Amino acid sequence: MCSASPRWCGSPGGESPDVMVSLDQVLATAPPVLFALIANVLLLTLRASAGSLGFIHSRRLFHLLDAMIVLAFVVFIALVVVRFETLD
Amino acid sequence: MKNLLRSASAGARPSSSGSIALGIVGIILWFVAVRRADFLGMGPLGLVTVLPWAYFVGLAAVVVGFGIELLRTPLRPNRLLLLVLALIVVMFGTASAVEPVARLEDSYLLAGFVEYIFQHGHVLTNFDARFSWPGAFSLGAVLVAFVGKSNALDFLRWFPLVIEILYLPPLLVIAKCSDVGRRAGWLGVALFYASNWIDQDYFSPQALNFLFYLVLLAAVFACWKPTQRARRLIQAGFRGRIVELWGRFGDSWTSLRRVRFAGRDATTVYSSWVTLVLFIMLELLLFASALSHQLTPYASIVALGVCLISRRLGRPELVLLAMVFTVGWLSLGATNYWLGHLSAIFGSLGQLGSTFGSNVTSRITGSTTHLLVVDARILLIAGLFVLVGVGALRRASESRTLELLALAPFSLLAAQNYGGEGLLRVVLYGLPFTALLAASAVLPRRFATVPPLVPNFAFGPHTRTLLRLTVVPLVLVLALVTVVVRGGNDAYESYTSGELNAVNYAYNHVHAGETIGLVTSYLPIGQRDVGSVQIFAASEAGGVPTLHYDEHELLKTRPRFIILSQSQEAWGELLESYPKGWETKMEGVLLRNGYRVAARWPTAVVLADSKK
Repeated sequence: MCSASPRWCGSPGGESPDVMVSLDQVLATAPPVLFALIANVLLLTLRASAGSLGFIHSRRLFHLLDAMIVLAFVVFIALVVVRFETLD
Repeated sequence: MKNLLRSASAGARPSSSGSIALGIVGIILWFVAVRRADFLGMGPLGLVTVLPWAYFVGLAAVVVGFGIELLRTPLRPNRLLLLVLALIVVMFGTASAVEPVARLEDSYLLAGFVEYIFQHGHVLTNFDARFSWPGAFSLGAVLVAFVGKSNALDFLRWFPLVIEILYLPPLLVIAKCSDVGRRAGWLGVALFYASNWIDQDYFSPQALNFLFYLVLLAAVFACWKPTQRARRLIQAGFRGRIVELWGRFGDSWTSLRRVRFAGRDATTVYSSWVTLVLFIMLELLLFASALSHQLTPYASIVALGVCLISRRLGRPELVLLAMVFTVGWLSLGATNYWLGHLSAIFGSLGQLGSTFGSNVTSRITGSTTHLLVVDARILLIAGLFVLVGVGALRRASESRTLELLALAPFSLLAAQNYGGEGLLRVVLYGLPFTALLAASAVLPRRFATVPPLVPNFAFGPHTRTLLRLTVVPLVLVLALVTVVVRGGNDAYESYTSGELNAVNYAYNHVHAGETIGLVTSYLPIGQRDVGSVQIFAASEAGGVPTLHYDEHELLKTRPRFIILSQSQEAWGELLESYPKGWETKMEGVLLRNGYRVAARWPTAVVLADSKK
């Protein structure tokens, strides 16, 4: 049961934000996060496919893919932090 | 273990169908018991107070049947499956069969969310945090449309039994593919059900997401295994033992090597294409979980990470994908929730003292009977973890994944106290694995790459008898305690038809924008008019609830209707120590202050504001 947690579980009395942020502000930081998310998903799926099916034979190419994944993940987390900082 | 059982099986072998006969007797007695149970006679200890003796005899018959079948040679999985199903029905179908309407007010509120999405096609913003993770509600709306209903209320009553049965297939896969023996696997599944008092199986996103969590880990367990290693030799003598343990401790650091994080210490018997298709399906499952529950995706990240470092996951991309989906949805989809109060999410990071206080200390309050239930819950979990420790010491294994999966969910508490419910949830996330380890305390695997930490001991020709004398009481005691503590709050968390009729009466007569008042939210309410009719619970208005405070808040707010009911009265007496019969006094106060009786049932009364 979830009665003891008004923040996480909500309360019928209302959950309006403590600060007012315009919809434009909310939307402005969303596309970069979304792009980074999609890039991460695509790169990770590509790596898993390559790892399972073995269609990337070059070890150097595999290391390059790993580096791109690390970069995309770091950028994604950074963009999320920026979004939190901007809107909260 | 197999050899021990074989050598001991020459003696008294039970008849081949005796166990199933016991299971059938158990189900018949359960059926008789739930037909005879008098719901209105429920006492402060909840559901257990209305169950006749036939229920307990039936439960014992099912457990004895299971114990006999479990230790029979050869093992017959079909019969064990039937007996586990019988155990699930007896444990989790009882409340649904005895209580006239679905229990737990949250299930009604969540059905209201489903109805809102079904009617409007979108979520209601700035209303409730749970709407920021709408996946499960949307799925509920799809199901409502599919079966041609107008709301999800018909799903509520039997949902716990259905979802517990749905947990069974992934649990069986986990038991089969974890490195415990076959018998320990079956016993672990039975212990999971016998000790699952946590009550998170009602119609809710967490119940659905726990199924996702089990399916995810079952798929990982089935697909990947640790790579073969040379078996470690057990050194003779005390000194040799110390040297060996020291060597094992040193070896544990190898789990932090790069090759381990790359997933190359796990192997699979599946073909490349099957592995890839499974990977993509798990990716979709993680995505669905990320947008339908607040906590389970984080538990999945931790569990996948544990599988990776303990050589049970060969695709490290899954861990990163789980992180990307979870953080991505929080950032993009749950904006409405965290906007303006991000500290609610990250504020309790590392504050273990306050987390322990809100999860344990603050819950040990109320009347003597309620404290008895709370204490029994704590003891049950403590007892289970003692068995986990014994199981971890006694079992040989290929990896220590189970131990890590049993403990890893506790790391979530360091990040979030989850409104005082975090401990309940982390115990639930670890329960499939604690149950298997507890089973290993009784039926440990003897030989594997990683030898047991304590020497084995055997009881010769009496092994089978002793095991039966251990297994049956163990499962039976856990099941009985679970029956008591799981339904221990039912005096105020289960409802009568009269209470539901009172709520429906109020909904039928209230207008949009008006308020329905309650003393506490323990009522089947919230299932209609989400966002247009306000629900005001006086005891949850922010102050310390007392009888005078509740009266004052209700008269200050002046709702259009006020509902007083049996379950609210029980809540006041059991949790807040209000005097017996306090609702009668409150009704008198409200009647003297401009309210009149609009409708009355034996267990509920609706008061209407005379001035509106």
